[in-house]
Amino acid sequence: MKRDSALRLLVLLLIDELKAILYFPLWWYSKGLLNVIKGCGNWINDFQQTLGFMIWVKNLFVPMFGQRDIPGRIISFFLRLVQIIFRGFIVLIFAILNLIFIICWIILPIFVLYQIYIQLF
Amino acid sequence: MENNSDNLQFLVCSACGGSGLVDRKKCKTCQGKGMTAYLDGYILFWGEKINTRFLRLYKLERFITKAVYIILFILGLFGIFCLGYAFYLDNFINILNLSFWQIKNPLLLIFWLSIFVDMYLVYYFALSAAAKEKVIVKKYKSINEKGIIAPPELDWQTIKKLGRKVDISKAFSEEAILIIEHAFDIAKKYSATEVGPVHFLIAALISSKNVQNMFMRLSIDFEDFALKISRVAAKYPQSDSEPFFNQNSIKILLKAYRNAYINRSEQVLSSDIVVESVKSDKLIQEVLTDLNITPEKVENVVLWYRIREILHKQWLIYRGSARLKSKTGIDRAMTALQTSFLNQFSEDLTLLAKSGYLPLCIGREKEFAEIFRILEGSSVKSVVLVGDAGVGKTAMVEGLAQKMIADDVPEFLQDKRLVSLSISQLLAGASISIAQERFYRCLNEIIMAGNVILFIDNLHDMIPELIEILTEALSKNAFIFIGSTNTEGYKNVIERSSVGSILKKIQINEPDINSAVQILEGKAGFIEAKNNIYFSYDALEQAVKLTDRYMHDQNLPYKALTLLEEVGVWAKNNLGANVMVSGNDVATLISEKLGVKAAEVTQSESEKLLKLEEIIHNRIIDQDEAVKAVANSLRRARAELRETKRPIANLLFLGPTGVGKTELAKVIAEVYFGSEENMIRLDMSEYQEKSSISRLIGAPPGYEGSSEGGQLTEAVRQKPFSIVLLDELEKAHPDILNLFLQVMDDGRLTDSTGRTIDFTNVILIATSNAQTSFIQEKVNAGVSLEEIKRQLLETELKQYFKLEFINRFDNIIIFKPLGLEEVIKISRLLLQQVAKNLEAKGINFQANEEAIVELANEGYDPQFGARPLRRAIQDKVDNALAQYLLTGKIGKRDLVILDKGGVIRVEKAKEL
Repeated sequence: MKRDSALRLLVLLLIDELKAILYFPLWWYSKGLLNVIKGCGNWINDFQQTLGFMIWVKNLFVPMFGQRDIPGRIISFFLRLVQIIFRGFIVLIFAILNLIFIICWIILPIFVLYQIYIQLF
Repeated sequence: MENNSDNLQFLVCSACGGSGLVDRKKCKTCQGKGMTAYLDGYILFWGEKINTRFLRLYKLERFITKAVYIILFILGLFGIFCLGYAFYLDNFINILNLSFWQIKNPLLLIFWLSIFVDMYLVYYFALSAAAKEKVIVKKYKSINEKGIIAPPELDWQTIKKLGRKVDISKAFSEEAILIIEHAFDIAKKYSATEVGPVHFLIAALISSKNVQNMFMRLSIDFEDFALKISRVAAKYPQSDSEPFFNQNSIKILLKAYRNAYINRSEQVLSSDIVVESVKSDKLIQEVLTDLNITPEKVENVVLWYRIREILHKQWLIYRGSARLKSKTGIDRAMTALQTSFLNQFSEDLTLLAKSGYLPLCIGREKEFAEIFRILEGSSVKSVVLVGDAGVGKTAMVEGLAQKMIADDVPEFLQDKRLVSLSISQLLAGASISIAQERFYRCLNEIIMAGNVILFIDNLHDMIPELIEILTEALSKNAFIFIGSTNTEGYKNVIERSSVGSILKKIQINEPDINSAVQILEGKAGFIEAKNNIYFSYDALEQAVKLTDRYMHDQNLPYKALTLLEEVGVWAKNNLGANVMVSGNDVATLISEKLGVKAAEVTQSESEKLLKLEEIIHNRIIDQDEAVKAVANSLRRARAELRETKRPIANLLFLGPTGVGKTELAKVIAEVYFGSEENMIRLDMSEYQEKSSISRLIGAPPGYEGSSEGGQLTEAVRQKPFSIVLLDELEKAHPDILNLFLQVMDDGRLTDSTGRTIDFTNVILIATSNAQTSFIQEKVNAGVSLEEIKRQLLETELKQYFKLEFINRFDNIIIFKPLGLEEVIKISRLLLQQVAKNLEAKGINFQANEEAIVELANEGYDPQFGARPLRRAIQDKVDNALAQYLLTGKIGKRDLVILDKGGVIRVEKAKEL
């Protein structure tokens, strides 16, 4: 009787594992993908904050170092513009790297399947 | 502190009685939930089934999960190994060639398959992470909102429609789940009918390191505790069938969840279960009470661990955000200016916080909210923190710097610098006009920079010229200013000056005992690490409670913190490394420091206390009633049975002169306060004028001698643990007696400068010769002392003291006049003293009985008690001895004998 119930437990658990395996491909392209996109988004935002990109954008028209006279404002504007372009470029590169990662995530299963196909046939 | 909506409202299914099962099938009414609780709009239930079968399942599941992880990991590694081997076989030549990858190769096939395995590993990991849920996050509510959301009337029909249903079992930490399962096993071992709180507690104690540590902090004797708790477990109802989780145990789990919810922790921890188990079982509480632990103590220790955890998290956040902050003093948008001049006289607190040099600030959320509200809302952005030294004003400002680093502040404070300007540096080596100029330049830079929040500590120390400049600058409203000052400084300097009307006052009060303990809990870790010791919870609590009680001239938490630091060093030097510092260790140290009796009564001391009468009688002859009354009040005081808001005892000694009143006071000083020196003696005959009040409590400010302080107040301030002896009280002016009304009632007195002097640790003794002849007369007539006292109180004493004054004494003690017999005994005592003095010179002294009686007769005077006796001994014995000594008639080791008729005989010692 005891052995019987232990066996039943094992069967139950195996069924659970089987279900998990079947759910795997679906998860990869639904929840899994979503997690990756969210993670990359956070990462890019974090990187952006480290560079202070948005702060520079917000203060585009604010003179630097308290130089509130006209020449000061003009110089500030262009200096900030250069900074924003430079920083924006770095953020962009980082974002592209992240995008590549997401694309990898999407094509990885298909690519691996293709490689296995090549190896087998 | 909890509001109504935080309270759980339970609903138990009547169809299944809370078990969730009817005829071994899922109950239809409650859908197997059995019992739910309503919490702030959420429906909570325990979703995990626990019985032998399921426990086995869970164990198996855990095993399989672990096994799957290991297998997947090995397969993944194997794939990479195969790839590497394929490269090796190829001699790393063609690996970048497409053809290499297209040729059929079993090693590559294995590699590609292993990639799938790796992907599955990621998936498996994500799944098990998703299976855990976090405790729902408590919403912040405004004060007005509290308690409005009254829980609705619940029944199973409404529950189906109501709010979100939360299976709390998913939010329990792994350890907590193990404890619950273990509790079931333990209940089974004890063949208990139901799983109860005691099983949770035992399981937690066995399987959780954290819980073990917590109880260690309570300095518990584990063996004793285990024995007692297993006895409690044995008392639970027993049966042969499998135990089950009854309503009470599910309630404990639901309440544990609520604890985590209120404390905003992400998971329900083992400590939450322990706290609720202790709270819900009377028997456990009794066991703990027996070990000197209350449920509150358990809760506070849990809080301690939580504070440490919170501090650690806070620290991580600070460190994480600190990297974003500027090192140069320029804001991130680079709109600010450098302040090179200001930097010479100031310290950048945000920069210090960024580098991690400032200690963390604990609590004070309410005060921070007030600062933010005032700075944000009002038109003038200047506040002053008013609080006495040591309450934590500076700690708050440093805390603000850290909050700014973590951006945990309103937007207008973000990306700014908090700069502390040092007035002493401003004034150093400069005339007033130069200091003014410096201050001007600093303020100018601050305004120009635009990102500086100025902090000036101890505003009241500023010279008026600088205050004027500050006022002018603040009225322009061009920068944010935070100042700090103490209560006295605010009243005397700030409020009276022009700046007072601009600054918004924020009162920083001394934290209460519990908050102070929490602050200490946050700081204890550093002291522990520094000295390599551990504090028990009692040590922290005692540090706060004892300093609160005995050190009135400083404030919490500072005084408790400095004491704790001292205890740390003391423990390291006296107890050694890695020891647990107990509450009594703290008490011992404070006793040594202040000369009070704060430590627990030791065996020898309690013996001494029980034999107090005997000890006093070594110096006081007869006066049994008086000695007994005094001994009793000292015992009461030492056993902590007295009111702590009054002096230890207020005693009035009545009786003729020379019967031992003052002597008894001296004995008390020696017995209770350790030395006769600890006595403040005031001869009240010197205070017969009304104007002498100013001598007692100090002259008012501006008068001559105002800086010296009062003779009474200053003495008590310096020696708060002593006897205050008021000799010949009846001679004092009635207004001065009124002054003592407050002392005797409230244990405090305000001196002329407005300082409150603490009298709660003194023994107040007044002596009086009033109505001596009445006492003598009655004693001679054979009236009992009790009766004399009654008559005195009813009639005779009223002409000297007001009734309300007499009533304030705890005890009025009548000293009876001495008879010849007592005087003989006293003579013996005094001659013993003479013998002692001679012994120090190496000379032996004896007095034979007849000589003693003769001396007593000579020194006895019914009117003056034993006072003439001292004179008699001086004349007859001391004088003669002095002559003998000076003429060299007495040598060392000689025996001097006092014979009848005052004859002094010397027996020479044998030659060596």
